[in-house]
Amino acid sequence: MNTGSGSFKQLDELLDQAYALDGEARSSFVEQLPEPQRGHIQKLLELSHELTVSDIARDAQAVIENIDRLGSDSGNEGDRVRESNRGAAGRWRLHRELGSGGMGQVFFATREALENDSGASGDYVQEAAIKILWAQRATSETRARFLRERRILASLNHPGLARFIDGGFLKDSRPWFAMEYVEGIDIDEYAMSLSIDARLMLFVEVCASVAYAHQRLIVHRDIKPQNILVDRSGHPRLLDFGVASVLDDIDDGIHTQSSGTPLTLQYASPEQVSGALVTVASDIYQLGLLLYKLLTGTVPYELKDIALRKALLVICEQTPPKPSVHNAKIPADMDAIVMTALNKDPDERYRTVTTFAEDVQRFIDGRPVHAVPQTRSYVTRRFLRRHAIIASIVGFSALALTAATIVSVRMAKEASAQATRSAAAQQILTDVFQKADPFAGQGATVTLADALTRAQPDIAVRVANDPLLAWEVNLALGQIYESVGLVEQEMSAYRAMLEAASALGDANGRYFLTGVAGLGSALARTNPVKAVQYFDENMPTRPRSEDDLEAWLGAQYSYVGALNRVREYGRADAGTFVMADVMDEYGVSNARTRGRLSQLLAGAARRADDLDAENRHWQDAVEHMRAANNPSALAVILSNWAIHLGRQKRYDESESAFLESMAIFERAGLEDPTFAAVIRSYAGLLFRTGRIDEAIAATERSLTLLAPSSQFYARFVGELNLVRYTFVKGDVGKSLDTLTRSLPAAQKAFADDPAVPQRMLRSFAKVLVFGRAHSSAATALGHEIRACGSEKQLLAVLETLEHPVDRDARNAIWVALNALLQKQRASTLSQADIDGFVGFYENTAPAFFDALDQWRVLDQLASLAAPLLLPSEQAQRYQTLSAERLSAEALISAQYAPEVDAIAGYLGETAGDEHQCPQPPPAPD
Amino acid sequence: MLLRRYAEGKSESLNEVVALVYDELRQMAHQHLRRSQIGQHVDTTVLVHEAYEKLLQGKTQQLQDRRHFFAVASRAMRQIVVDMYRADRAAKRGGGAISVTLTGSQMLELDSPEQLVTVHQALETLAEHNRELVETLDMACFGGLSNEQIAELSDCNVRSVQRKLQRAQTWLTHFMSQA
Repeated sequence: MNTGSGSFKQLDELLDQAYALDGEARSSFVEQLPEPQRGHIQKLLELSHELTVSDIARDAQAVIENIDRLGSDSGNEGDRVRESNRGAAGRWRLHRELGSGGMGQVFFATREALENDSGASGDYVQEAAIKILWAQRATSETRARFLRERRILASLNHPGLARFIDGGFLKDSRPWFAMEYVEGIDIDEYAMSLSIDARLMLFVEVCASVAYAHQRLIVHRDIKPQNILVDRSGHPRLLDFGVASVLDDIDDGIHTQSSGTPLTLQYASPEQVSGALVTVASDIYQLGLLLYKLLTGTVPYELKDIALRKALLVICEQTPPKPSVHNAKIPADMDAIVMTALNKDPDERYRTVTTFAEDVQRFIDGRPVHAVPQTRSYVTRRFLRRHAIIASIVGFSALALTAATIVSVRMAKEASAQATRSAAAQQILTDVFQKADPFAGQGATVTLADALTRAQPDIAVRVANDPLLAWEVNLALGQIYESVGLVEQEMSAYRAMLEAASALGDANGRYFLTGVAGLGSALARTNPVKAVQYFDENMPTRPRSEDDLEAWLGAQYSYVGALNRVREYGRADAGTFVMADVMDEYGVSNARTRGRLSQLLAGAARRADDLDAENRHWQDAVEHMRAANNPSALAVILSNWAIHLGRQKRYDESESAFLESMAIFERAGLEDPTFAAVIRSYAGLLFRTGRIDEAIAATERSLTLLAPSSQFYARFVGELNLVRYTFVKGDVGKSLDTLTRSLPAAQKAFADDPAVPQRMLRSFAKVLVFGRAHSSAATALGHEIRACGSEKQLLAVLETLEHPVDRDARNAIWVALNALLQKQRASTLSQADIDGFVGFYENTAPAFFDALDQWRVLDQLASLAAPLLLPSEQAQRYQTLSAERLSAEALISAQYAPEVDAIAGYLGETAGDEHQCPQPPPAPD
Repeated sequence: MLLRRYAEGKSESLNEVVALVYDELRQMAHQHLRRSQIGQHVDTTVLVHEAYEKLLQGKTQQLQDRRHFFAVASRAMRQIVVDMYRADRAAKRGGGAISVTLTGSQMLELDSPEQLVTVHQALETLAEHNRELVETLDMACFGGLSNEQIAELSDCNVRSVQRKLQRAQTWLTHFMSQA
């Protein structure tokens, strides 16, 4: 193509026009061009066919990929693939070098697949990474090793490994092979933006690939982040079996390999560097290092800059710091897992990759890990923390958990229900949970959800002809599913319960009402509007007789709860009064029921603005719950009361109520979502009373109590709180970090309700804007945003904030301010400089600057002026500046008030929301 | 104001203006070094000083505005990197595999060090035809400026910056394939 300047200009203009159009419009634009322009433009567009994608990042990549002849003009031809060999690798066409290692070079290559025998080019292009043995280093030894790698690869076929495609010999008899070209990023880099759990799941996937290789007696021996790419679909792929060995020809030890590069040393196992026998244990060690890196972002010891001899000593002798030293969020169990894998003695590590991966999976599932000494109390504690509610519903004795030291408040609460549950129902549940009992099957991978699902058909058979039994069992199942957050299963259990009720001929009675309460409250948690509708249709206004009373009260309590949730306070309060009336009529003296009523009445009093009545009802509620000897319900009521006291700014009383509530949870060893919510509310109090560090710690603790895979909403609220607290503390980096971490999860979890992550984005934007007020944070911000990959979204949000700033004026001021800072650094800053600047600033800024920028400038200026305070006139000036800065701060607060309010209001309304008392439906007599 | 004075053409202002954006340039260099694997032994400040001196040497250039300044600085950056690469290659003569990755927000990824020289030459060729396109690409890939910043400096919208980059990349590919 002639690209003389005249022709260039013309073509460039056409190209610009073409790029302004998309898809078909562009095609038809090119079509109507006269030749030869059309041909030229088509060629240019083809050169960069990927460039039609708006994503510029991909554009650049495409450009690079289209560069065909790289490497050929390099200076050191000797070792390179000679031109004569180009294209000789089968029908493959080599493009660019992807990298080189001890044995050979790796190229990016393509081949056009032949569709049929006609010889015509097929319509797809296959991509591959082709590895070719170095010409000059093709000794018989490297040749043998190269061929062995090829053999190993050809024998492997696993989705987690790059697939072997083709192989052969060049004209000069050097062997080559083609393997699947994996486009992706290093696993450690990819993992940075993930939650701990997501990182662990990624790691478990890697283990599967390694385990697969081990089953074929192949040890990888070079597992490190650089050898594991995460592809576009988010799956890790293990590459480079270059130093892998087959276990039965192990004589070719690692120490004979020419791979002593620092990076490999960094990931070498003790037995590798000491020349001892390398077995699967070595891969397990390297997986341990990988896990360490994924969790902490760092390696246990940095070996880059130290002498080889010392490095070897470190690898063989020095016990690495626990991962939690680098990342305080890593629990002791995970420390134990990693440290087991990193044991210096191969025999003390996990025996197989599979057991290693299983332990990680156990950790993810919240089950006891094997890496920790298996004391009975440990296993029990771990199990109870995760499944305290279930254990209480089923009954501890059924699980043979004789650890009598553990007192569960829920156990007390449920005692009466269990006592009345029939022996047959108890037996069915016991059977189901025996399977999930941590003592029953050591090493079994069964989870409770699994156990339930598996037991379902069996349960159905056993209750088939006994509606009462079906009713009892399904009631328990509903409660269990509720406790593990499987709401769909929970609702179907309650539906089955309702069916059983109608089989019992109980149209409006207690069996029916108990089912209504269960199903209704499950609905209220997912769709309160629907729940209200359901209650409207099914709730009788009053119980028919004393027989139904307890069930009716339970359902009515749920009903009012649902009405409160949808903010139908009028109807909710009416429902409360009916409940009070009914309780009067039947003379209900049950302390817990009275306590609940008092709580509802307190809510009604609040809406009636009757503070005295409200306080009285709260006190009643607490008194009743104390009398009910029901610590669990008491704890919840206390925390609600605490929230109420906080609202009245009676912080001391609020705090002591919180502390009492939390102490109950602590004593019971119950680490469940309700406790998490209480701690979160307490953190709110700490925050309001200025104890920000404590508030942050409490919020973090509450987050650790939430199961990673469920309770998205609670997690989200907690994280948003954390963002706010850390931000107010001035720890912008951490605030941002939390946002970065939560955002992808929130977007995923709230796919149906984009308003939620949107809120998060807005708050993200705010941190961003404010963050720029701190110059050191600004750099970190840019870095972080890049890392989190949602820059586009952020910018979109930022644009909507609409800063009325004259950019030129702002830039000018910043540049001048920079100059002043320079001068200050060089100690040549004079009073005249400052005066000059202040004069200019005062004339310019108010017109163009928003409050935030004013604040930033004044802040800088105040620090500049501080050392020059000697003459009184200047002191005056400085004080004025300080005052201005303060008022600018106030302005900022005002400017962002709606946003802050929105977030605060949102948080207040959820975090401070009163919890409904956990409510076991009454059992039949 | 200094900026205004230099915009009005007062020659001594160039020196001052460069000093003023010293921090910004330094940041550019930081970004640059972080993204390239070249010479991890080189102090960032050294790199900045090199850019700074280059700018002063090119006194004949007339810096009309901020955009021009960044364009010049970004181009200087490119020159610095290429020089460093060449020096490194001369020193090691086929030795260590230096991997060069220039990743601005536009991600011009280079897969082999030789490519840097090829890209550099192709850009010089393109500059003979259309200087503006090369400036835009320089600012994006070597100056570490975002599309939004370039748009702001050039007083145009982001979309048109993207199109310029597309064209620049297309032509770059073209000239590289011609090389």
